[in-house]
Amino acid sequence: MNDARTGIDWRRSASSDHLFVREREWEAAHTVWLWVDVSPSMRFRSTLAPVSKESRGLVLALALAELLARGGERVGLMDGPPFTGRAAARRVAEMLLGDTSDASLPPNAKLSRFSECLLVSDFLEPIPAMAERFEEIAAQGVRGHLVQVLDPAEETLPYEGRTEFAASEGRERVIAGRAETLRELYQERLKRHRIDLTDVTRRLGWSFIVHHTDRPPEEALLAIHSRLAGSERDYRYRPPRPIAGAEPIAGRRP
Amino acid sequence: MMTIGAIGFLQPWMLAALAALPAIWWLLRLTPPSPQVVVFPPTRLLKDLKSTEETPAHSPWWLTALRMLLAALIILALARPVLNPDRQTFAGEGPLLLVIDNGWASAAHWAERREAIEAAIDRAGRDGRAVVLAPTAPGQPVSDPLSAEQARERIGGLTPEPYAPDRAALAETLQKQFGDRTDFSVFWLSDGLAYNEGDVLASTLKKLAGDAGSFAVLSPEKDGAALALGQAAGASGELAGRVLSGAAGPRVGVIKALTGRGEPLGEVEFKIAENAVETTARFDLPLEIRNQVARIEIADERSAGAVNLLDARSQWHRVGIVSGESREAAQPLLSPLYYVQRALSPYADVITPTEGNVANAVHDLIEHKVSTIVLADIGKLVAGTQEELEAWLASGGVLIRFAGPRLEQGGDELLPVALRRGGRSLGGSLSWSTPQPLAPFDEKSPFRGLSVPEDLRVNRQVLADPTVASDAEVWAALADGTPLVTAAKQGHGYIVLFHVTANSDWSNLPLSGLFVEMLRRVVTLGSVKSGIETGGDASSVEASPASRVATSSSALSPLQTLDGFGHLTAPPLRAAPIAPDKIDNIVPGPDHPPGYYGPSGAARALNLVAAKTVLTPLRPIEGSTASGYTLKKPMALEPWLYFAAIGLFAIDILAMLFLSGGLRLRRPAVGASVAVLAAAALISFAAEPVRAQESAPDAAATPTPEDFALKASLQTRLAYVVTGDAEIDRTSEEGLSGLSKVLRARTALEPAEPMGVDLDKDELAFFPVLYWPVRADAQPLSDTTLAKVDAFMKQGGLIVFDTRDHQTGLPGAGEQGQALTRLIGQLDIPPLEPVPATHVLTKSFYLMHSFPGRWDGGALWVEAEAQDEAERSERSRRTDGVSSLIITSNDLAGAWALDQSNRPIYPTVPGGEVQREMAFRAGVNIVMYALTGNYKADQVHVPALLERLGQ
Repeated sequence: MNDARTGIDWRRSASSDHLFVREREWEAAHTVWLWVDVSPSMRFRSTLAPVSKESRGLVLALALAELLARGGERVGLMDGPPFTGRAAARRVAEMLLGDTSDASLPPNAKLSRFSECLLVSDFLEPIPAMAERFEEIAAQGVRGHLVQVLDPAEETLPYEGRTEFAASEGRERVIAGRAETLRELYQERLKRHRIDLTDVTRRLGWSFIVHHTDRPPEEALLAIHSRLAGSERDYRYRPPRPIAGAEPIAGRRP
Repeated sequence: MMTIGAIGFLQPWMLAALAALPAIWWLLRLTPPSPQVVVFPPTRLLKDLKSTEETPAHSPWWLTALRMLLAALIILALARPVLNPDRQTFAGEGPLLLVIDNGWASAAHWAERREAIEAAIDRAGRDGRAVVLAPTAPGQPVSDPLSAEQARERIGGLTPEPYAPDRAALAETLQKQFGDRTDFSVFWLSDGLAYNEGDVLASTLKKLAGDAGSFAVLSPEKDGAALALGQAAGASGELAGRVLSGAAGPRVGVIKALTGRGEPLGEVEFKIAENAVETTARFDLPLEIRNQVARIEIADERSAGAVNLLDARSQWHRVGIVSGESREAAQPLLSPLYYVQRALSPYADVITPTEGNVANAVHDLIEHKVSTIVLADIGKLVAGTQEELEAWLASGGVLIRFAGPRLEQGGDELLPVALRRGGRSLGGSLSWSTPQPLAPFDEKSPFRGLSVPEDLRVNRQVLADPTVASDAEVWAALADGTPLVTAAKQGHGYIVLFHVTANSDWSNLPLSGLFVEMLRRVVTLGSVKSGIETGGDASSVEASPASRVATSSSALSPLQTLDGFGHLTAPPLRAAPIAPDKIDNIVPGPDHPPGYYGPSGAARALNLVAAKTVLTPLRPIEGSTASGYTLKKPMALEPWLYFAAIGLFAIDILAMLFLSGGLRLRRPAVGASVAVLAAAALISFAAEPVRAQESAPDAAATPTPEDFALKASLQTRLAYVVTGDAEIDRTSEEGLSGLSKVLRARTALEPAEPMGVDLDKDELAFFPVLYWPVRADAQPLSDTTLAKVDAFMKQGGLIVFDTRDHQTGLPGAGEQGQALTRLIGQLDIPPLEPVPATHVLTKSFYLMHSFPGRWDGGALWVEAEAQDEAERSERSRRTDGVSSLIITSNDLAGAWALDQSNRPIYPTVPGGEVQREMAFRAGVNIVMYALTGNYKADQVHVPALLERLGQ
C-alpha cells in the first residue's frame, strides 16, 4: 500500500482485476578492486615453497581478474580505473607491471560505494596500522576480502642453530642462539596475530583467507571466488575423502 | 736466554704473555661465531617474543681451544725458541784448556767432536781467552797457550789415533807445565771410556780449574758410545765377532765381513742386550767364503776399534782324514784317527770319507778341496793315488802322515824323509833307553813358542834313514835329537810326517794339548784352492806357504796399519817391528799401531781388541759439569711455529665457514648424495634376488661338462654354433634336425638330435661337423676361443660357415662377409677356392654340381687343393685330406628346416622342391665328406687301376 502510484504497471493491471506494481531491480556491473602487495617482504621464498609469495599473490589476482572480467564484472587496481571486458585482465596485468610501490598496506584510494576489494598480502604489519587502513576503506562502503599469502617457513619457522633473522623491510634483526627453541613461541605469536587480524575483519564484515605458497593456487582461488559470490557460508573446505589404504590427508583450516 | 729441556728461548720475557691466555679464553668464549643469516619477513613477530633468550652464545669449546692454541703458538714463536741451544759456558778468566780424547774410541763421532771443539774455540775466541790444546793420545804434546786462530789451525791437524789414549801421561805433562795455575776453564771432550788410568787426569784437571775456573766434561751419549769389535773364541769354528760397547745396551748394529779388497762377504746383526756391554754375533758362512774374510767391522762405526783384522791363523780349514784300517767303529779309542779328529774338529772342518778304499777316499777328499789330508799309518799308496796327491801337494795341500806298524814296514815316495825299515823302541823291558821327552821347539819350527809338557814321552817311533840325503826340515825332535816331526816342501804344499802313531800306542803325544796345537799350526799351513786372501794385501793371494815359515822367525815389520778411522794404510814412520813371539801379547800403541805385521802373505794381525779386552765406561767425575756432545745443531723453531699458526688460522676460517652456514649449504648436497647412495643400494639389493632367481633355474638346468660330453659323444650328432640370435639359432636347430632326419632315412648314419654349442664354454672335439651361421653383427672371438676353433679345425673338424646372404662373390665381400672376416680373420685359414668339379664333395654321397640352400647360386668355398705333393700328403695325413672349413652363402639350414610334421618351413628361392632336395643332398654330401674323408676320391682311380690290371 505504500507503493507509489507511478509504480503501477498499468498494462498488466488492465488485463485483470488486480493491480500490479512494477518492481524494478538495478542491475549494474559489480566493481572489484584488487591490490597485491609487492613489497620486498613478499619476495620471500623458503626452500619449502616452489614460488615466492609475490608470485603467488599476482597469480591469484590475475586469475581472479580474468574470472571476474569473464563474468562481466569490472576489475581494477585500487589506485587505478576499473576495466571491463575481455581485455580487463590484461590491462590489470599491465598496470601491475608498472606498480613499483613497495607499500605493505593498501593505498587509501577513493573507491566507489558497494564495490568490493581483494587485498592480497602477507599482512604482517602491525595490527593497528592495518586495522586503521581497513577501516578507512570500509568507511567508503567497500567490502573487503583479505587473502593472506604466507610461506610455509613463515608458518613453521623450520630453522635450527644459531640464526640471525633479518627483516626484509626495515632493519630489524633478531639473533637466535638456537632457532629451534623459538619455534613454539613463534607459532603461538603468529596465531595470535592472525586471530587479531580475523577480529578486525569480522568487525568490518570482511572475509579472511589464508593461503600457503606450498599449496596449489586453485584452492585459494576457489575460496575467493565463493566469497565474492557471497556463498562463503556454504563453503566448507572438506578434505578429500580418504582412499582406502592411503594415508589420510590432513585438512588445513583456512 | 732460558732453556727448558732441549729448547731454549731467546726472548723468554715474551712467555709472560702466556699468562694472558685465560683472558683470551674468556674473550673468545664471549665472541661467538657469526650466525647464519636468514632474511625473514615476520622478523617483527619474532622480535615481539620477549622470551628470546639472547644469551651470549658461546663458541664451541673446540673452536675456542683452537684459537687459544693459535694464540699460544704465536706467543711461543715471538719468544723465539731454539731447539738444542748452545749452552756450555765458561767461568773464570783463565785460558781454555781443551782436553781432547783422540784415541780410537773417539773416531766414530769425530765430526761431532770437531764441531764441539770448534764451538768451544769460537767461544774462547769471543771471550778473548787463550786456548791450550791437550790431546790425550800418547806421544802428542800439550800446546802452549794459543790464540783462537792458532788453535783452530792446530786442531785441523788433530786426528783420532788407532790406539788408546794415555791420560796418565797427559796428567803428568799438564802437572809439569801448568801445575802452578788454577783458573783454567777446563773442557774435557772425553770418549766416554776409562782406560785403567784411574782418575789421575780428572784430579789434575780439577786442580787446574780450581775454584775460579770451570771444569766441564763432555761424554758421548749412550748411542754414541764407542763400539769395539773383537773375535770371539771360535770354539765351534764359525767366524764370530765379539762386540764391546762403551756403555750399557741396548744397542743394535751390523757386523760386516769383508775380503782384503773390501768386498762384502756377509753381514750379521748384533744386539747388545739391556744392561749388557758385550755380545757375540756369529757369521754363517760356507767354509770357502769364510776363509776369504780378511776383516770384520761394525758397519757405520768408523774407528780402529770397530775393525778386526783376520790373519791366516783365523782361517778355517777343511781336513780330510784317512786311515788304513777299519778299527774306528769297533774300538774308537784305539783308532788311529780318533785323536786327530778330536784335536782338529774345533778348528777345522774334518771330513772322514766313508770309503774303505784308500785310493777312492783320497780322490774324494781332493774332490772336496780339502787343504789338509791326514793319513794315519798308511804304508804304501798306490801309484795313481800318489800322483794325484803329488799334484794336490804342488798346488798347496798339506799332507800329514802318521807312522804306524805299516809304515814301519816301508813307506812310499810321499814322505819327507826316507825311513829305515823297522822302528825304534825306547824304554822297552830289554832296553837301556828310557822313553824320550820332546826337546823344546826350534826357532825355525812352525811349532815355536809352544810349550812342551814335562810328562810327554815317546816310546816308539820310526826313524829317518840317515844314509839318504834329505832336505827335510825337522820341526820337532826328541830330547836326544831324533826327529819326531819332519816336513818337506813339495810344490806349494807340505808333507809332514809324525814319526809316531796318531793314537796313544807309541807315545802319549796325542793325549796332550800340545798335539792339538801342533796339528792346528800344521793345518794353517794349508792353502788355498779357493783363493784365500790373507791379510790386507790383495797381491798376497798366491803367497807361498814356504815364505810363511821361512821368514816368520825374524821380527815382524809393520805391513799395513789401521788409522784412527779404521782404514788400512801404509804404516806410519814410527811403527816398529814386533818380535813374533810377542805379537799375541802386545798392546797397540804409537809404536805398534794395529794392523798387519810380518811378510806379505804371512802377515799377522794385531788388533786393538784382544780376547780379554773389556770396555769400561768413564765414571762421572765429581766437581765437573757433565753433558753430552751437542750432536744436533741449534735449530730455530720460530718459522715452524708461525707456519703452524697459519695452518691453524686456515682451519679456524674453515671452521667459521662451517659454523655459519657452510654446513647448511652443504646439507642438501649431503642429503642428495645419501639419497643417491641409498637408491643405488636399494637397486643393487633389489637386483640381486632377481638375478638370483634368474640364475637359479638356469644353474639347475645347465648340464655339467660331463653331461654335455656324454650327450655329445654317446651318439653322433650334428652341431651348430649358438650365435645368440634366437631366430638364427632356432633355424639352425630346425635345419640340422631336418638334415638329421634325411640322413637317418637315406644313409647309414643315424644322427641324434642336433646340439647347440657355445664356443666359449663347450668342448668342440665331439662333433665331426659344426654348422656356423654368421651373424651380421658378429663380434670377434676371444683369444682362447680362437685357439679352440683353430685346434678343432687342425685336428680334423669341419666347420660349415654359412653367411646366409646369397652373396655370390668371394668371402669377405658384403656385410656378412665382413662379419665372417671379423670372426675368423685371425685364424690360420688356408687358401680357399670354390668347390672344383672334381672335389670329393661333389661325389661323397650324391653326385652334385652345385650346393644350393634356401638360395641358389652362391658358391661353396673349400680349402684349395694343395699345390705341391708335400703339403698334400701332410694334409691327408692330418685330416685325411678333408677341408677344415666350408663357406657357403646359401643358407643351408633354412632349406633343411622341417617342422614337426616334416613340412618345410622356409620357401626356397628361386624355388621348387627340386632345390630343397638338392640342398638336402648337399647337406648329406657335406656330412659324408666330413665323416668319410676322401675315400671317394680314391674311387675315381678305380677305372684306371682296373685298366692297368688288364681287366
